[in-house]
Amino acid sequence: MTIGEDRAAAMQAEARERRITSLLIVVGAALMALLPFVGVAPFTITLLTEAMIFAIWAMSLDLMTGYTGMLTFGHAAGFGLGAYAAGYFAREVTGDFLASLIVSELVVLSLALAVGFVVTRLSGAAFAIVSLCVAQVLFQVAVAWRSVTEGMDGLVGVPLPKLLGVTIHNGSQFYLLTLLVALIVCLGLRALVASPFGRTLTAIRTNAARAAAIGINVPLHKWLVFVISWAVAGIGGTLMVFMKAGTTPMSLYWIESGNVLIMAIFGGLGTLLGPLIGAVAFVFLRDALTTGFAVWQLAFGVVFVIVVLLFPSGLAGIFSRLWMVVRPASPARDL
Amino acid sequence: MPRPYAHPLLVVRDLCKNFGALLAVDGVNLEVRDGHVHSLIGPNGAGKTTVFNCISGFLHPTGGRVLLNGREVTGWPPHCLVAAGLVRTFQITQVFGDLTVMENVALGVRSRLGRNLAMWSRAEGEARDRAHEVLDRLGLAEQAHANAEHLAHGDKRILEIAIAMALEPRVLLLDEPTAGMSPGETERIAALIRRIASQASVLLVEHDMEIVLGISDEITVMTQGRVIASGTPEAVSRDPLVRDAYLGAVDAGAL
Repeated sequence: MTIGEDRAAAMQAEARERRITSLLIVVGAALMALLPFVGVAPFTITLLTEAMIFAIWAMSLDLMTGYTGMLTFGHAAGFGLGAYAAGYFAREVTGDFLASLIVSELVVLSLALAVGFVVTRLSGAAFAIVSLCVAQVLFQVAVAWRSVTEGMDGLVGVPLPKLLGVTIHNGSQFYLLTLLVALIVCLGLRALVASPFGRTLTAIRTNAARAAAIGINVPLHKWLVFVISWAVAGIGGTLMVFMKAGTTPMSLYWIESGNVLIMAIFGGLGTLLGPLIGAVAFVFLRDALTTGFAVWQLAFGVVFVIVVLLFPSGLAGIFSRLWMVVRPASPARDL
Repeated sequence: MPRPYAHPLLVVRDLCKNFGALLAVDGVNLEVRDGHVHSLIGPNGAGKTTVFNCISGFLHPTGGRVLLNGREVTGWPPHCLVAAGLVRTFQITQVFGDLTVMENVALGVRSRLGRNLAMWSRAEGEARDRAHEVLDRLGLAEQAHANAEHLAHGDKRILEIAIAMALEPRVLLLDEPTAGMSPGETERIAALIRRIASQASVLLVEHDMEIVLGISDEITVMTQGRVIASGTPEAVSRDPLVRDAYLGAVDAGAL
């Protein structure tokens, strides 16, 4: 916005831009929903389903790391825990998707409230390392608690999900469900970061001491963000356990925590849409590279480094630069 | 003019703070009276900023008490002190660089309105209107939509105060508000502080003696963690201890 611009007009322009972007997201999701009906290969639909699940996970990381500045090396925790809780409940009690989701969320929320209360007292590198330790402890529990988790073999035999009594028995239907959940999560998180609460998070990220000095209860906000972030990751984990009909301790392993961080950074932290794009790029690049390279991570690493060097704000930065060219009068903040 | 015997809004009693073996603050007493500008001066390393940090909840005092309007607030965390009406600024400019000037002040307004946790955007208009009032009052309205980090240094210092004023403090702690400013800008700040004193009591740490002597109702002088003098500007500037320990070395001519 230009200096001295009329404030009402500026506020309206900002709100309008946000509404247009939200509308584009809904249109994009609607177009994606058509894909199974226009002859797109089932394998591609499976990849897209996984990409949307990862997108939910990566956006939950973005709230914590991109918006609040809490770098975490253990974001597999909420995801893997959600997967185990939903999978176990679905197998032992009922395959109802909503019931499994609620139970999974209750488990994730309880642990996030307890763990978050302690670990969010830390910041910077200490928080990053302790969050990694938390995820590794959960990994070890998943390996050792064989009577529930079946150890390294993993939890298997998760039934097909049922939605409102109807069994979801093919990949296209599950894709549509995942797409819908991802859309709700995306719009919900966008509303959250645009709210006063979201601005408070930006203040904490920019300068925690200053934020405290203007009366922001920094520990409380960081705790809430931690809990919300784990809860959203748990939604992703729930979808994942139904998609794969099971899960293994590897879903809690540090490599997964690294992958979700890579998706978010690759796409562009602090933009929500960036991590979403990053998750899609991650899934499809991984698929393309595994056919040509023995060690696909090596090739992916090269792509990752090039993108991050050329566009420090990630793939979203490429789009927002294009947007700037088309609309030179857009606001200073990216996306 | 402020009342000479107005009741003390902020009382600091026997405040001590040590960092290991280093005794940074050693039994400091001071009283900031309602509507007064009270300056805390002293050479570098005298412990002024440590006193500030102890009062504002950024450091836990080793000993002593802090009373705000008669209420014990020793060791309260910063956000509780802000809610109780005690607000500080920082010596090194600490504005939120990647937010607009207006957003910086709106954060303060929302905090005052108790809306930090609002997860929906209702009644945002009110926060922004109030933020604009503050910016108007402090002469920053023109820059409302500029990114805070693009402001000139002097304007950043004013913004620092604007954020604090948005919180409608009873007691405002200003840590070297004129640091790094030109003489013209310094005058602008001095006039501003005088104006603020009609709404809030001010505790001021400042190096510019001209300002301190010009706008203070009361001055407390510290060296090496201790108070060596306290009183009106006239009394303090006549005090031989002060002239020896501090003022004489720096700028006796200004007195």
